[in-house]
Amino acid sequence: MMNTIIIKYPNSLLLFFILSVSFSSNIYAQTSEDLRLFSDLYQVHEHKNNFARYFKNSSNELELISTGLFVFYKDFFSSQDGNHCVFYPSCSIYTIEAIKKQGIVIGLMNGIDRLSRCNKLSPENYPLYKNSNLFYDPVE
Amino acid sequence: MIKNIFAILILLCIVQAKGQDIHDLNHSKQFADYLFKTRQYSLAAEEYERIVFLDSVNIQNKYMLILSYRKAEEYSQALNRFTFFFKNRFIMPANFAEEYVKLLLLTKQADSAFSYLSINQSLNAELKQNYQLAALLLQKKWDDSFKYAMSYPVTNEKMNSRLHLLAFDAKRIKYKKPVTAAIMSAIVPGTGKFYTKNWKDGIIAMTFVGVNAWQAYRGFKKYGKKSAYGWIFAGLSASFYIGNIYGSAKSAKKYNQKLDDELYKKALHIALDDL
Repeated sequence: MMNTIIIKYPNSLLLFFILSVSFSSNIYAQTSEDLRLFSDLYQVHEHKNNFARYFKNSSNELELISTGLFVFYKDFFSSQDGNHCVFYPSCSIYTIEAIKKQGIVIGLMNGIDRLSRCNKLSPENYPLYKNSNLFYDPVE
Repeated sequence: MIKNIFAILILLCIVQAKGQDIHDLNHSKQFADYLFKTRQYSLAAEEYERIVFLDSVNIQNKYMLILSYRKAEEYSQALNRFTFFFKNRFIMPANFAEEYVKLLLLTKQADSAFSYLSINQSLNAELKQNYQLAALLLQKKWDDSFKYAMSYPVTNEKMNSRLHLLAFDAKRIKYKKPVTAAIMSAIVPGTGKFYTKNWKDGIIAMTFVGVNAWQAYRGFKKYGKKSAYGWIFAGLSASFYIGNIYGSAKSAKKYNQKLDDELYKKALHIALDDL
């Protein structure tokens, strides 16, 4: 008999089921207070970087352009994938500082050499930076 | 009877018991000595400052004050005290003169220490020679320190023998040449870093240049001169190749600096034997 009712009146049964669940138990959607509480758990950090300082005291246009390219990489590409460099300062910042201190040619060579050294295979060659797990390798 | 005895004993205790001034000179001295022995040098220095203020005549207190500052690594404070205590630093007691020399060596004024020792009257000749040798070693003047070491005899005295040995080691030091490292890396990428005993970085450099060059070769072989793939990897390979040449020269300089720093630390350790 039950099977007959189900086959004959499926929509009515479905409606009956939905209505009974609605009135028999308390169902809540999120209130604005709940959303505010949840938003505190997942704080969005605004990506603010002050790269203007790297453009100061550039001695020529070529230096300015190369600094700009590295800053562009740092702001648009590197910012999306997290910090993977084993050194402090990171390889891009190191290259920018090397270009400023040593000129574009030597600075780029220094930066490329730094890229090939950017691994955890030689910890005995570098001190650790403050309380972090990063190797300290500044431009000299 | 027993009660009377107890009463008398208690009275005797009252007569014996009295307050003590724990901030007087003797107690302060005991406390300062305790702080010094337990290596709380900063606090000991503060106490010795008070003691010197209370008793400015006792020279031992002044010595302990300076020693506490040195042990607490407050070198500038210690040097200031010399200015305060002695008008003429060339006529100081021997222990003060020795402390003064140690402070000059610690504050990287080894040249001043050498000059001071030439004029100082209170230290004995052998001690002056030892500290002058240490001063030359701390200025990284390996040839001068070897010549100076040869000018006076080696004895069984600990500082003398160790400094002489160090001067001989410094003479035999073998630096790596940056030009050789660069040339080696120019011929075979990575070998310049092998030369400076940087094996791992050398292998990585060799791999980077080799793999990129191979990829460039593949690109050019398949698509000819116009292959963008080939040119990109050729560019990468050339960049790493040039970077490696520079890096090898830099690695040789770092190697030499490391050798110098090791000798410097050993010389400082010998000169300041009580560190």
